[in-house]
Amino acid sequence: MNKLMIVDDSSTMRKIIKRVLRQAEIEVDNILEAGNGVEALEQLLANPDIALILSDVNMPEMNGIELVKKVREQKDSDALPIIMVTTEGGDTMIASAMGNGANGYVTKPFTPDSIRAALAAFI
Amino acid sequence: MDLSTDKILDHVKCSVEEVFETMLNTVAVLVDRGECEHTNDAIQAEEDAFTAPVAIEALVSFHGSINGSVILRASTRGAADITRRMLMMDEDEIAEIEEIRDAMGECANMVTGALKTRALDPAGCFELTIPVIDTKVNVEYENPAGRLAFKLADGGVAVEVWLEEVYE
Repeated sequence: MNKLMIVDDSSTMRKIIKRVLRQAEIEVDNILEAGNGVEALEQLLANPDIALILSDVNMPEMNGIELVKKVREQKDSDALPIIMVTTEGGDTMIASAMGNGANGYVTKPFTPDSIRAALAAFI
Repeated sequence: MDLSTDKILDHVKCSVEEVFETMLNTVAVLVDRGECEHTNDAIQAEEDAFTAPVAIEALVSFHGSINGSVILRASTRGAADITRRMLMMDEDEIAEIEEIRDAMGECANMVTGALKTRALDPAGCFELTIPVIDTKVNVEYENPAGRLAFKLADGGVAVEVWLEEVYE
């Protein structure tokens, strides 16, 4: 995969996800980071070749559900997979994320296997 | 769904064990469970961690049919160890204070998120706040529902649950 973006307000979690991607043997040339939905949209504008987004839900400024909505409002965004990676593992939250256009869901705490399984269809 | 204090503490215990095993690759052993006084004296299960004069606390609140907060507390040394484990740093590598604060906040976030998934969501619609991290966090609620003290491989961590008083 050429370019992937991790969106999480925790720099610790962004580092952990990068490490887990390596552990899961998912090869990515370039990993971009954003601390919230607003930063993610800016990154996406500057990097239209981003191939996949991994996003937290609870974030300041703009949360992950709002980010999914904003991305899906954009033309031709259906081909961009968005996987939610969040502590919010309840059915309601999962339904909300998927209903708004997310393509997958991983609940924290996670293992390399759960990340690999969530990304399998898109890599 | 039973949202009694005892049940919430049971779920918090399971959440802490799951988060520390999965994300820190360490076993969190429950060593004390009792009334929460929110003082250093109240959490003496692991001497090194809990009697430290300077600690780091991370708070995440939940709002729904009941309101409350979950607080993770560790000595600065214990919090640094948690950070090293989360980030898989070397033994002699020193974690920056911002890394420690962020790691403690993320731990509190995952523990409270797991509590929400296990216990709160089945009982209704709940929302979580963004973590607040400080040497001593301000707790909004007046009812200290309980505390759990865990021993880790190196040091320990205390978890407190505070609930809003419900007047009938």
